[in-house]
Amino acid sequence: MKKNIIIFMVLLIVGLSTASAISINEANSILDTIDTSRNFTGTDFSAVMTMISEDPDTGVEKKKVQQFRRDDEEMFLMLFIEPASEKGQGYLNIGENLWFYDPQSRKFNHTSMKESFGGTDAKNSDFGASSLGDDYKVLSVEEGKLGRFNVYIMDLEGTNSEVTYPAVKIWITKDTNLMLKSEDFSATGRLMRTSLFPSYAKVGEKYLATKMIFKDELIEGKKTQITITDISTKDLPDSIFTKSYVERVNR
Amino acid sequence: MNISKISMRNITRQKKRSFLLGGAIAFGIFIIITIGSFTAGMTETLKENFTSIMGGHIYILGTETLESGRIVQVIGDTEDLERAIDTVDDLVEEYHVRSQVRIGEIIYGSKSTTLQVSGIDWKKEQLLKDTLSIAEGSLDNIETAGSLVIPEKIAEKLGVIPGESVLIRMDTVTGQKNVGEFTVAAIIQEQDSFSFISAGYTGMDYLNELIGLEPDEYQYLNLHLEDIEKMDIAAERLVTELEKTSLVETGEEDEEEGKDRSHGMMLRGGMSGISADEPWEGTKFSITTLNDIMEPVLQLVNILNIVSLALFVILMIITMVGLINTFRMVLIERTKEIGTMRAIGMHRGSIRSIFLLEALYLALFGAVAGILLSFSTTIITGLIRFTSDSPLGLFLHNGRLQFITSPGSVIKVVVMLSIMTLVAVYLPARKAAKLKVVDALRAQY
Repeated sequence: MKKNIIIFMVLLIVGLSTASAISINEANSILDTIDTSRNFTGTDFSAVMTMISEDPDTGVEKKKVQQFRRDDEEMFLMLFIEPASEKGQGYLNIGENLWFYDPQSRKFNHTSMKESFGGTDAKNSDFGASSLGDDYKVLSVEEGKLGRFNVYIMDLEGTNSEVTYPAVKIWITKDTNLMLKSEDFSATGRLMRTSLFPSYAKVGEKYLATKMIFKDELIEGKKTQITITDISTKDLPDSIFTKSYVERVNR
Repeated sequence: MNISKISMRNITRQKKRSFLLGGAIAFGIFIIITIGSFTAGMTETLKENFTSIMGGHIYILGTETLESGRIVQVIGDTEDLERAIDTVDDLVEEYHVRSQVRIGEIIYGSKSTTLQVSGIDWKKEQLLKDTLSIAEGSLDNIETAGSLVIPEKIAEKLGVIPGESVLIRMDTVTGQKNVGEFTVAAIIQEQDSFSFISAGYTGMDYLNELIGLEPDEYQYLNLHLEDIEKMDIAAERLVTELEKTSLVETGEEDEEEGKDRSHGMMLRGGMSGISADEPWEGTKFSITTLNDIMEPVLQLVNILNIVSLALFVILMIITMVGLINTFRMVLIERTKEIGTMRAIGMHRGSIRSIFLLEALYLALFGAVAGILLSFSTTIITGLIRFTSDSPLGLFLHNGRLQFITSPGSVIKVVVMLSIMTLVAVYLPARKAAKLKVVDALRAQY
């Protein structure tokens, strides 16, 4: 009898320690919460991004970008301010269309949200509205720790064959549902990119990652660090999200 | 002494003058033959390079739309296409099916660079195997999954040697990020492919798996014809048959509409990724021929040929004016001599022939000198080896410029020159023939 009680206790402890704190459904709803807290609905958003890229081939490069977002209408504009050689280049997103503007050729070319942003380790999709809840579903969730934070660790799988990364692993703070880290995997299951979001700022009711680190896991020593400053949620003129505005600022 | 000998002797009487006139003619001939040889060689090199890298003379690209509206490059349902290629079977030497990663990133340690990777069915692509010039490694185990052939330039940049593993970052046909591990089987001399495109090759099955295609699916079907001259006939048959069941786009249609889509589609790797305004059912085929792709180049070649011909004509007109003046002077210098020849019984026609033959010999000597000069120049220039990143990369054959001189074009130029010379000298020759014997003998100059 005593032996049975010990076995029961051991099984209970093992069971409790491995059981996830939340169900898959709850985890999926956390993805929606993340989208809600990261997307600036009901307000415009602008900020300045400073990007420092380290590449073993080309060395260290610094870029400064002015960001304008209107998530309600799925629009954003990213204008390069620095370096001088890239000044005036821009990414304009309106709904399904994303264009890259080159002031030298004065042409807009179609590009994709999945492409690298200005040759850095960030993707164009990293700067638009978040759609984790639509694009991914939770396969498994467990509790864990990341540094001093208690987190949920979720394995996500793309809901369709068109999401940038077919599989993603994310670390979400339990109390505030903020994403602290994500690992992006290829279709063959190889880790391609690790993203870290070590600091957040509260902007109104929303949370904004003010520091992001994107590490290329395939090329040793290649990473990009992004710092966001000069945050504003003031209304932006409609004209900003137009091709003519992008051309005008280059005159 | 016959007329021919007299004409020949006359040329040597004023060596300096003959040398200058002949030199001017030689220069004109040199220019037109050298430019002609360069453009002919350039056209041939481009044709060879395109045929080699694109795996044939007619290229059939398939695109389909997903439910989301996204266009993907794939020939999934091959039934219609197989029926169409049956109609050209008698003209085709080899069929090549390929899949492709248009812009991949090849990674070795901390180094990386871009590479276009074609998925090859090695069992069927003997022509490609034969044309690849192996610098290091071998194609013995090329059919092993993950074996990769890369150009020298890429190998040097990455510092990789055969037997070592590399990664290639790529997009699937639906745009997802993926990465594959490859083993470098062989390094090829890049002059055997386009120097301006770094192209690598691997097995199609393995590449299909990485880009999200089924093993029996492919993106391109390239036809290598037995006779390149029958390219347009074969393309027309294919279009006619395919149009019965599928949507077809051709290079010609795009041209008529003032677009450059098909050529661009082949070179850029299609329109994959862009959302279709009007999605379509099944596979839409795009048929492009080597002629379609070569058309802009042929236009450039034609312009170059016209410019060189215009230059030749201008040079010849200047030379002919010089020739007329020279023979007018000759007429004055030899008036007494003409009178003497006429007095001892030479006919008017013979006098005219002496003048005409003298000019013709001069032109022919100049032409021979120009041809020899052109041959020497093209042979010496053809020996120079250019680096693959040279601006001439597009026109290099085995790292060298290729010159092709056709006997027909040389004969044409020489005949043209001869006619122009005879026309130019005809007036002084006629005037010489019409001189009265008494007046000629009485002349004081």
